[in-house]
Amino acid sequence: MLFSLMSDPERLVKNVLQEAENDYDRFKGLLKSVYEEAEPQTGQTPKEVIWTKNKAKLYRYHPVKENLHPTPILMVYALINRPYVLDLYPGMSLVEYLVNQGFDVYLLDWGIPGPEDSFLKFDDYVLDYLAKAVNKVIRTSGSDQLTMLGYCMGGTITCMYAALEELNRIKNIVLFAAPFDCSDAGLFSSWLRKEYFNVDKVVDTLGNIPGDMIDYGNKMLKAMPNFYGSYAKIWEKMWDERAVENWRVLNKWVTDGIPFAGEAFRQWIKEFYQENKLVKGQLKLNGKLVDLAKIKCPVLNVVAEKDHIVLPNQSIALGDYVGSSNYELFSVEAGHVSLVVGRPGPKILWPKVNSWLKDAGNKH
Amino acid sequence: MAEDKKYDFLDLGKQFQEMMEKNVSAWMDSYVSSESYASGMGWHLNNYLNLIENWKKNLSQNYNTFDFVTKEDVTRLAGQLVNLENKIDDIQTILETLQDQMSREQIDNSKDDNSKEQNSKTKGRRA
Repeated sequence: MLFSLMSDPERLVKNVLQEAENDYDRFKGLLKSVYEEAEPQTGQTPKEVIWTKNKAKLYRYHPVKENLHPTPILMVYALINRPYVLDLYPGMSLVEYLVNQGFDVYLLDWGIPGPEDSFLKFDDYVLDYLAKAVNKVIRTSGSDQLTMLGYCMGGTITCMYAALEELNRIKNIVLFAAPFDCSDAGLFSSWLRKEYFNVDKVVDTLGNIPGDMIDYGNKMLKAMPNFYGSYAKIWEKMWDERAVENWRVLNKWVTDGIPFAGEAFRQWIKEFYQENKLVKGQLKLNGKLVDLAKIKCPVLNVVAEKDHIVLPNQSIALGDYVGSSNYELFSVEAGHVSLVVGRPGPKILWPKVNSWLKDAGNKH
Repeated sequence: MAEDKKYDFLDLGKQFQEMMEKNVSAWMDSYVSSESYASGMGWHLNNYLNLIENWKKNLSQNYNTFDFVTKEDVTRLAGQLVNLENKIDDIQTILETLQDQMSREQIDNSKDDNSKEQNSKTKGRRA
């Protein structure tokens, strides 16, 4: 082949020059995005803060339709990373989509815990913060019930709350890639074993767990694609402005990790990953047993088939424990993040949530 | 175009790069899944934590010696502020609950009044 290339030096030079030109454009694009452009804007759907507690904020998104859907939606995200992934940018925002569909949408942002919040546990987050946020949504919307939408750990938190809620105020639950059964959590099960990972020492020494440490753990699950692949991909598309912009926004979110409150982290690792107490029916919050069978409202459980952070089996297991007679498992061929903000988000997931909430989720 | 593809000298390099990426990725995946990685990470983490612990202890001792404010002091103060805020928050919750109860009672009372009025009207008509 090399001989034939040598026999056509004109084409060879053309190819080399073309590639050099592409590399120059890439380099120019890289310099521009690193040194010239401001941080990309995220979370642009108009909203207002309607409640705060410590660092937590409850947002209400400004409705765009007059006749709102009667049941408001409260979105609950994980304690790690920022919740604006649900409202990334116009056109790639689940929040914006649901608002445009006529829903009254609320989002609970847990905020960034400081060293003084290292004592916060799931007991506080579920029975104090979330409970009060639910009260506020009910009061503000004037509705008797609400839909809860939990993403990742936010889904686990939502179900813990729903299992302990006694006022029958939850009409539907929608879950995205939420972990429940930690008996087989893939690499996390191996890394977080008691003999290797001394969570007590980690929390006692560090207090809150730095966001970078959590991010590193998540990235090591797929080291090459995360540490190298994502940069290699954008290098290939460096002259495509839209691709670069999308990458910058998502990269901003990925690297925008927040600390995990120390005691909550201790609980998460010990009681969930090491002892799997939630599905064993042994988890207690403020002395109250969390029994998933007490969840009787309709549940839409969305699982990401290619998820390596929360393995599909961890989410699917909920079906064996939840007490709802209207339970639907919905599988999407996507990863943990691309489920919501990748191509499958606006094409598959968002319309599914919309139709389920307007139809199946309202049948009791 | 087929001719172009045939003579794409740089494509060879790209193919080689992709092959290397795939191999390194497979090696990384098998390495991070191994027992030695898990134990090695645990060992490194433990050493790192020992280092941080000693560093924090020494720093705190030095600050105390010079009568400086330590991080723990600031954290304690911030914790007290958070507790105070929680207490105000609890009072606010109680007030809101009372307000809800009162408005519910008002609605119930007005319903009672209306039904009493209607009853007296029907009695009047019968009489």
